[in-house]
Amino acid sequence: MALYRWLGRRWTALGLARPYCQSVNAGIDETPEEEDLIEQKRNKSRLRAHHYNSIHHQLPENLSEDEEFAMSLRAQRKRYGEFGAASGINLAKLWPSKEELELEKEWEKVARPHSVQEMISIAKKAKEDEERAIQKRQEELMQKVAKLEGWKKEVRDRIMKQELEAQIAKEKKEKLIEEVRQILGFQIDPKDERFKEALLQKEKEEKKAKKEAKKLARQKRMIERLRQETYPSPTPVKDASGQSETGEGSSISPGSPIV
Amino acid sequence: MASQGTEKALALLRRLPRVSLGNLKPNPGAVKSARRGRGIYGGKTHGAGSKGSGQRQNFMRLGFETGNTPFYLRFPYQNYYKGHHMRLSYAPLCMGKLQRMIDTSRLRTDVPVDITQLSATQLFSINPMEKMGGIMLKDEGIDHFQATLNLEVQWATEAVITSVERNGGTITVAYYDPISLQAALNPMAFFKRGVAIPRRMLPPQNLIDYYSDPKNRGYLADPTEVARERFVLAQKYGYELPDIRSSPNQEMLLERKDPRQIFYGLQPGWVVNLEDKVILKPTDPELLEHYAS
Repeated sequence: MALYRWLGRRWTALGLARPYCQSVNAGIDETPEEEDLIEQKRNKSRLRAHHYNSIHHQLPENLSEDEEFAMSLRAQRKRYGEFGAASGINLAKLWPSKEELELEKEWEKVARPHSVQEMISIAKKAKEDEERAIQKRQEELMQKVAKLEGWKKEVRDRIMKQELEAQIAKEKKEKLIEEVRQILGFQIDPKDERFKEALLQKEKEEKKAKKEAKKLARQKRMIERLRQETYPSPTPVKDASGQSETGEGSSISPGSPIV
Repeated sequence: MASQGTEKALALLRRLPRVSLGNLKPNPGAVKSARRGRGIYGGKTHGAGSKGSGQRQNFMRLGFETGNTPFYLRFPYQNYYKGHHMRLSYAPLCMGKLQRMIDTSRLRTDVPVDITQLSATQLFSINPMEKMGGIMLKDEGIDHFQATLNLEVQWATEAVITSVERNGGTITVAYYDPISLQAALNPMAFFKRGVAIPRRMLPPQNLIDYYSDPKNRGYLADPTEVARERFVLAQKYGYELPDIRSSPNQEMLLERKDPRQIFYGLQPGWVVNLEDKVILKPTDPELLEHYAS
């Protein structure tokens, strides 16, 4: 039993189970024709039907309605490509359908939004922009390079000035220390308290002296102004300080009082 | 004259029979026996050492560094290949090889030579799916290139253009998008698919510059400018510019494809059937408009 079942399956696979017709669609109850039987007996290749058709480039049967419905457009077009008009495919299917055409147009719109001229102009503009940016940068660099020597000099001067200032400050400090030491009369550490007191005193004295000097200068100026008011002379007074010290009139002015 | 050794070798050559598979053998050590060794020298451990992963055939995988992150996993990316997926590559064809193909009749020059003709020689493997744009011509062999032909490739440099034009030929540089390229590389397989010939797409923005430049003989460049550049190139390299209009195959040399055309003599929208040997043209106005744009 099992053997017959296995054999039956083998024969079906080999296309020998129903020796009276090749296609699946034909009824099993058809009466076999002499020619067909003889043809089948001639085929000793033991190939499966679809293999035999493939090797001998044969079309088995044209598609039924159901098969046409189920088979994809792509496969149907391939069938036409292989077998031509004999395949029975409607030629209208070879070109893109409305939906396919819409998709193609959309694809192109997204992939290539610009026309040729637009693309060329965009590329040109991009190139020009790049060139312009490079030029601008070059010009900026040229201007900066022209100022470079000046900047270098500035930096050097600044450093020198800083060094000089530092040196002056240091010298001043040293001098101050020396002076305080002179005042105190003995070697003293600058950090010592006595030194600081002495420094303070010294500063006070210096301030006083400055104030005195300022006062004197102001007084001199006042005197000069008054003199000019009382005796307006065309010629400028040359030795003003000398005059104020002595308190006598200058030799230049004509209207000098006879004392 | 020649040394003793050379003379002996030549004498051997004269008297020994023809070299054939029957009297050749590989160098010692070239062929390793697949058989396991036996006896005192090949036996016991059979070349696998003692204990360890080696003898137990439990080898570490290639690149494994006993636990620390291996070298091949340390770097997730490298800057040198940045944007490689956006760039096209081209199959190189040097002028010497082109000359050899023509001389050995592998390539015919009585028809315009484009990517289809070059692919038919079956000497190139171009895969559009691997971001290949087609064929590029290289400088090597330009000195002894002597053929006159109408050439269409996807990339060419100045020296190559010079070598072609100097011999009275013409060269054009054209872009094929991947689908068009696949069709052009194998027209027979394309026609068997039973689809209408598509329109060739324009080059993308990054390539438009190259294909619209008359210096590169771009297919989108102005023909008058291209003619001017031909003259300029002749002046630059110092050769007499051959007159194409007076040559016998003037028509063939001046044949050019439309920017939207893939095959010579076939328009986009046509369906070619090899079985019935017919060409079907669409009549629907919408389709006609689409394929003519």
